[in-house]
Amino acid sequence: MRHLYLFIGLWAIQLSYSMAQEPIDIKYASHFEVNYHSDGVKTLMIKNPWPNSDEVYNYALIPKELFESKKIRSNYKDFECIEVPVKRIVLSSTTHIPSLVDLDEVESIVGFTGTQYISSKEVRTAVNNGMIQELGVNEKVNIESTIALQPDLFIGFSINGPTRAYEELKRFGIPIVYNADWIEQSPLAKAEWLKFFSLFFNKEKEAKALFEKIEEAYLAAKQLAKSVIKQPSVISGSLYKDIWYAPGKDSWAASFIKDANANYLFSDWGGIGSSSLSIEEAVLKGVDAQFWIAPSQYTSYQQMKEDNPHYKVFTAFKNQKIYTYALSTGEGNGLLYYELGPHRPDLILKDLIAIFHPELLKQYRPTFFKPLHP
Amino acid sequence: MRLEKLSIGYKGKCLVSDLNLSFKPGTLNAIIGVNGIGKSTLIKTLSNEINALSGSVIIDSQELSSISPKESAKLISVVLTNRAENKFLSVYELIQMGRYPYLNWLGKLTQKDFEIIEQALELFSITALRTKKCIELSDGQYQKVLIARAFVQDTPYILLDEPSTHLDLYHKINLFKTLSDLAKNHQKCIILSTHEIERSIELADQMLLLLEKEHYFSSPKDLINKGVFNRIFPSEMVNFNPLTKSFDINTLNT
Amino acid sequence: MSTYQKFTVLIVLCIIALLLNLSLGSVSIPFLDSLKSLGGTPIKNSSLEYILWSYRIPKAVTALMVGSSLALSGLFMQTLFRNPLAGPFVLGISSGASLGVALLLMGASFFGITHLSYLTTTVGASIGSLIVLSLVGTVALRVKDSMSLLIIGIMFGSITAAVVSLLSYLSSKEELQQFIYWSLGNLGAVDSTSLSILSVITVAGMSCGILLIKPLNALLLGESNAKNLGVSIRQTRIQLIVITGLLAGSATAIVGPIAFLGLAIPHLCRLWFNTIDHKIIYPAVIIAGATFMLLCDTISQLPFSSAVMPINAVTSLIGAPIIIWLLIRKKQLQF
Repeated sequence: MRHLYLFIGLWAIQLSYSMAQEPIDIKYASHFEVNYHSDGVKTLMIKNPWPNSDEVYNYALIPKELFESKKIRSNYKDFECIEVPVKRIVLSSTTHIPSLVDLDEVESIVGFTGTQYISSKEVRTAVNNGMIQELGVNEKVNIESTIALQPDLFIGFSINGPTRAYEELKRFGIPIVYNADWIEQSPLAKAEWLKFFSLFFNKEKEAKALFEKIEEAYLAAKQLAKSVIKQPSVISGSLYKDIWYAPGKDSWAASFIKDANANYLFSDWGGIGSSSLSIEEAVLKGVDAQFWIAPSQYTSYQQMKEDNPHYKVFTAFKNQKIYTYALSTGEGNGLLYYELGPHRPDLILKDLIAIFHPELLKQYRPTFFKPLHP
Repeated sequence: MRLEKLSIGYKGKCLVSDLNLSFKPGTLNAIIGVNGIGKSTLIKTLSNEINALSGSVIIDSQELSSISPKESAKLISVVLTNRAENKFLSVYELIQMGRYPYLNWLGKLTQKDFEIIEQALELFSITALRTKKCIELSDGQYQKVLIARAFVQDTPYILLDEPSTHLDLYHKINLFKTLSDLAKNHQKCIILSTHEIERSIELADQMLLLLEKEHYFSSPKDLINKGVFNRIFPSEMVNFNPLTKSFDINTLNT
Repeated sequence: MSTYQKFTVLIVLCIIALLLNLSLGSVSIPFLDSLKSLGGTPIKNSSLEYILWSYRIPKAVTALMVGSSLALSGLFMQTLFRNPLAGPFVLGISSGASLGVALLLMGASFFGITHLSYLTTTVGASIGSLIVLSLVGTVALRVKDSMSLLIIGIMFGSITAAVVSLLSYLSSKEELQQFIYWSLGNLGAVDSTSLSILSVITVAGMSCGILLIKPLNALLLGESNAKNLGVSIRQTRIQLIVITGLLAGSATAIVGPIAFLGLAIPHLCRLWFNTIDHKIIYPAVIIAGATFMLLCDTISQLPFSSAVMPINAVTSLIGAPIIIWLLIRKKQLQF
């Protein structure tokens, strides 16, 4: 008899979960997939989390009440099982932060690798109050401190293969999920990973609404930019000695230039990563560009002049039409562009539109891209 | 060249002490002694390559140790055959080096320099070899080239350290004859260390005999009469024959 | 072929190498246009004009200076040490430079210095090689023969290499990458001040070096014989070391360590001119060194493509087979 009650109870919980779920649909991101099952469990698939990989990771996100059930667990024995909702989470990149801020889950963050780079005021405060533990550099994360935190989940990432430190953590029972948001190349795909984070807190509904707002703002800005007939010319990147490093033609940074309806002069080079040009090519192709955005780490014209005499020949330098994100910092040592940018592509796009077509967005206050100091 | 109370050797070890003698111009002087007795050391001391332990070497009333290297290069030339000379120089280039102390800062040769080099080539019969690289020469030819270099250095004193070591009999004799001619016809004072005792007796004007604790400096004839040559080698093995002026193996004890 | 004819050929080769170097690059500038520009008529396309005058010409001048400096230093070291394997860096100049640059690039973070100007590497390399050279020089005064000096130079090289390895291990990815870029050598990133200083030092060094031609020839006979001919060995040794330090040191400080050239060019010249007389070889290595450097730089630019090869790789890849081929033909090094 007791078994019967248990069985009915379990079935009821499953039903309630599967009914309460608002399944998310993924429109742009290509490196993760979610499936909702009738037994109340969601499965998450992470595809190719680093360049040139064929790896696929399968996770089963199982509700707390069902987690101990042997039957459920046996259905997902080939998956890595994670109990949701997660209460104690460790993050490894500042790009993860804005999603948790928007989902109102800052309190769940217990550990972070590289807290000095965090720009978000709210999260900084939590760090200063001792709520978030510093865990070192991602590739060499402090194993002991992480284990001592007893997190429910570790969101990690790797650029070239499974991280050894993560394997150690797994042995101690800490679930690790590889985040692949940084590989996505289209602006909306990167932003859509907000939904990925929402899975662990059962906040898919909130995520969907938030993303729709961002998507709408982005597409509206893009449409606005289309109204301009004459495309201004733009270059990006800077010199190291006599090699020019610039965003490649299919890269995330280059998409914004395209969507802002401008002509990226270095679009003959590269792919999704950064491309390198000889100084001769950079001068020949880019010297007459009207605008220059993202000149790497420079913050002033003086600094550029001192660093390399060749910058002076560029029209954008002479007319002082250089805009950088290096001047926008948050509360920490990191740049706001790297933390918030991927999450709010609409703000980046609007920044660029305000630069390239100032008549379209009067009285606009930029978030990331500001004019270079003298 | 006058030696006064000269003691030579290395730090801590005195090889020969209290030399008092004079080497005169126009003479061929041979230094004789067993291996290790100090022959090479004496040559090195006289050429100012190493310092004497005590005493002095006087050339033309100047102390050798106080003469600058540039000046002493015009007074003393040295032929060292046991050093690795550069074999890729041509014969002409090597002989030309002898004029070094007289050339200007760039090393430009003047008419006088050319003449003296030609003279040397003729004197030593090596004119035909002038463009050959030294590495292509036989030991005997190479030896002549080295002496030619010393000759063009135009110094009153020429020192040689065991110059006949690698030569066959013919070339050994040739060498001594050449040196003897140099001394007589060109008024050079030649000082050489050698194992060729019999050749030296024949052709040298003076001989310096270095023994364990003493030394003798005189003409070969004088030294024979004094019976000094018997003192060089152990007499059980070797005897000096004053009539033939050569060494015989002692067969009495066999 | 007489020596005069060989010199003529060498000079013509040098001029051809210079013109090739100026005409070929990632971007195509019509040859006639560049000639006209050199003659005073600017190219219509101002970008091309800029590229020619502000990038290619300074790079070519750098190549001329560095190539001749290193080749001459190599000659000095080979004659001084009577060693065919000696090069301009046996006294520890390049290891000292590496150490100086490593300390500044990788050690700066330890001292809290964040922004490093483009002069960092030049300053670091100069100070580093100066320190190592003075250490070696001080020892030079106390040591009797040149062989010991050679060994000491090599030992200092090992010590500095070990320290550099340690710094590499402890530094961040970015710092390490910067250091590696420096050690690959780069002729194209020299600013005008550095280039002027380099030119002055090079010309002065080579002019003073002419006075050493006579003692260098004497040294060919070995130190004993040179001494007997009136050469002051101690003074000559110091002069050679100082000039080598200036020439090789300034070249390395400004463009990074360039391998192989200083070692190979003296041998190539001696083999081709068939003599070891420094009156001929001295000017020969200067011209040959400059020509070789220009050729290597042209190749490293991988003309008509965006890619660029590090100059260090090119000098060794091109130079080593040439030496091997020549040795096989002549069967023996002239030395």
